[in-house]
Amino acid sequence: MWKNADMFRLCKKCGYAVCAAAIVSLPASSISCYAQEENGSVQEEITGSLMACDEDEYVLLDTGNNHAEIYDSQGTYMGRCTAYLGEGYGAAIVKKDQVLNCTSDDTSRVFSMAELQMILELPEEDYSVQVFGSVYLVTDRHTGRIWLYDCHGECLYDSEDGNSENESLEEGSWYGMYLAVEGGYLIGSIDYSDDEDNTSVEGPVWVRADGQETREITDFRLSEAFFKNRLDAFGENLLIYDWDTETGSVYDLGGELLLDQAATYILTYEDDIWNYDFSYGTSVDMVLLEEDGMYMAYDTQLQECAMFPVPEKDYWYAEYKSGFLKGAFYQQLDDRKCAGFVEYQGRSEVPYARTGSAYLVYADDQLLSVPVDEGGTLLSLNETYAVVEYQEGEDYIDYLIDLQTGETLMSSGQDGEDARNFDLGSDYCIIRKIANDGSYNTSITILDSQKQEICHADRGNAYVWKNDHILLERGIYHGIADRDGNWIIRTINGEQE
Amino acid sequence: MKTGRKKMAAAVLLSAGFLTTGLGHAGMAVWAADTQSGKPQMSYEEYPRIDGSLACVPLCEALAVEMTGCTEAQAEETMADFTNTNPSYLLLAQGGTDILLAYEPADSTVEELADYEPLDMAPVGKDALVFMVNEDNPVESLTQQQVYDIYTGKITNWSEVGGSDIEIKAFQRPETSGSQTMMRKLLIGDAQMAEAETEMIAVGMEDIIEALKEYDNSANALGYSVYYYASEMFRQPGLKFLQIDGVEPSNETIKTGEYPLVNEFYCVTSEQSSDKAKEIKEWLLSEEGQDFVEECGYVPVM
Repeated sequence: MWKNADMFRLCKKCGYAVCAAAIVSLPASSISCYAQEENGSVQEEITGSLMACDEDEYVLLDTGNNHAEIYDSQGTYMGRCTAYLGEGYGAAIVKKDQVLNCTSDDTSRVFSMAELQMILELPEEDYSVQVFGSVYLVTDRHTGRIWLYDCHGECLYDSEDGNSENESLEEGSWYGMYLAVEGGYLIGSIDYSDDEDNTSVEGPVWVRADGQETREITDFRLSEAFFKNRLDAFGENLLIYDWDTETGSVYDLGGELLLDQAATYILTYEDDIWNYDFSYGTSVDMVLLEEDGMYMAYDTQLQECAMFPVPEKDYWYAEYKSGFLKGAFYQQLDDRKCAGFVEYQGRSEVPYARTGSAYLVYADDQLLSVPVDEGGTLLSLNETYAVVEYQEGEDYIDYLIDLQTGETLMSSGQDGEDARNFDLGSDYCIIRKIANDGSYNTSITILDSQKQEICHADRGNAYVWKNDHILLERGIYHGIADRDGNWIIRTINGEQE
Repeated sequence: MKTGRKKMAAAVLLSAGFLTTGLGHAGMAVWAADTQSGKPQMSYEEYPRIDGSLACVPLCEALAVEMTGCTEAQAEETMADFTNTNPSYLLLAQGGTDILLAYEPADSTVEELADYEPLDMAPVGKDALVFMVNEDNPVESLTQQQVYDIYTGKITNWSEVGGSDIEIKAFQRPETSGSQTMMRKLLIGDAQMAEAETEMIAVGMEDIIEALKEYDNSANALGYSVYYYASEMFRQPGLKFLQIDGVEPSNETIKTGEYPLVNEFYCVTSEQSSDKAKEIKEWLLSEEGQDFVEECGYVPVM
């Protein structure tokens, strides 16, 4: 069966494959999805247009004739969405726990994937539907009333039940501010914006829904001025950032205060967007906070904090982008706590941090140091290699560095015959020569973790792919190959003839 | 109908005559088979620049391995500049490549080739024009006449050929494609094909197969391709080959000629081609070379 999150798209037109987890919307080109067994062999092929997918659970394929088929991440056929109406659909969302939401131009339709039958049909102009874990949330666009349903259609929560305060919410635009939390918890509040775009918050309405129990949680200390606060979640804890005091506090889902305004939450403001500048991990359950030149790592499992010096702030690569950062770590080094981030780009999860003149990289169960001169930027790294970029005049030169020795193995060279770039896989490196015209379909070489050449093609191209595989173009073919260049899935380029 | 059939037959004869006699005005000549040639030896670097039809690519790659002892991966790289049937003829004539393994070019390409030195064409294998339908279609066999009538618009409903009472959606290929050239040569001739909606004209060979498989998820679609490609290179579940005049397409029926819509594919060189290219062509025409063609899954011409 498929390895984790191994559903991918292989576009026969452009030869490009991307992980389903990274896809929200796609052109309507035909795709093929393949089930890949642990031993690398192909189990089955599914052809259709990818309509939507969640992070790694379900994939919805338009298989023609206004039908959509649903597959789980193991490639198992879940069923056909017979009520899906083809033309004009605007979006489709597949979420785990057997809930499927297809939105057409004028209606939102919610299906139970288990039963594959329509259980709710609501005019899109009047209602919005959002799916969170095992529940879905219906919002009356006019009144702000919300309902919470489980995947069988049972109403778990109605904001007007026993809550007459919300009945006054009749004018203006109401929109929910909701957050899915691991374990099926849902936490939300309702924002209100009138015609003059004055935004305020009525509520808040806190909902906890785990399929068994639904109740309001209103005992957060910051509840009275919710909009002044920023809410985020990690593990089964909440971080609430107070915009006024620029402090962050950590609560558990029961509302118990675990960490009280102890640190400054790093925020950056760019292009009218507030960016999170901290990381929370699903694996280490940690939040990083900064205060007075120190980083503080709060371990939510141990419920203790570790303080460590803040390296030069600019050098921390802590941008929050969806799926970009997956976790954080901290490490005892020379009697100091060091912190780093787990970078996740579908290819490597190597923690690293910059400490002035070097990058500290936690790889191969060791803490390695990669010296970097001023102006150098770490572009990528894996367990074996790092790629650091320097600006030299008007050019940017990349250097491939051996993590174990710190030795520079190769540079990207200037334009012309020596130009190349580096693409790092899990523990391998693709060296891709760049033709004089800037194209890539020239030669590629793949080095393994021992710095040995394991694949070379004078005419071809390769890209890093998941599970130690590569996307390979060679001759008239493209597809998925192992690192040695042996085909796992080979398709004929759709552009032929 | 009779008029149309006569035109079709005339077109086939004209085309066949042109190929066997190598008329100079078209810029091509046909070689006779030489059964005594030994297998040429060459390094990977000496291997000639090769091109041709998509359905011949596996043969080209196998040839590279056979001639040079290179790896399969290296053999794939030899096809990096692959252009397909009609462009490959022009590229060869212009000196851009040394050797082709290709299906017959379209008439428009033949006209363009008249501006160049003649090419040397030698038939090295056979393939067939095959018709495919969704496996849910109850029709198992069509006659050549029925296919002709469908594609010229006389028959429009499957019930007229023993199927269900639904409209026939007949997919076509562009006029410049190799499959279409074969369709015209073997079946349609110069007759006007029924007008097809844009989405019913599949650009690539795989497109027509995918379109057939997916079209409306029903059994009313009909399409065509060449047998090797459809059976070996892009076989899709959910489709079946139709018998023509009661004969199932297979390597055996193509070889014996029982299957009626058979055409040859060629090894083509030019005057400028490298000596190695010419040696390869000679070898492909030898008994050993023909055995090799068969071992590669193709139907030899001898």
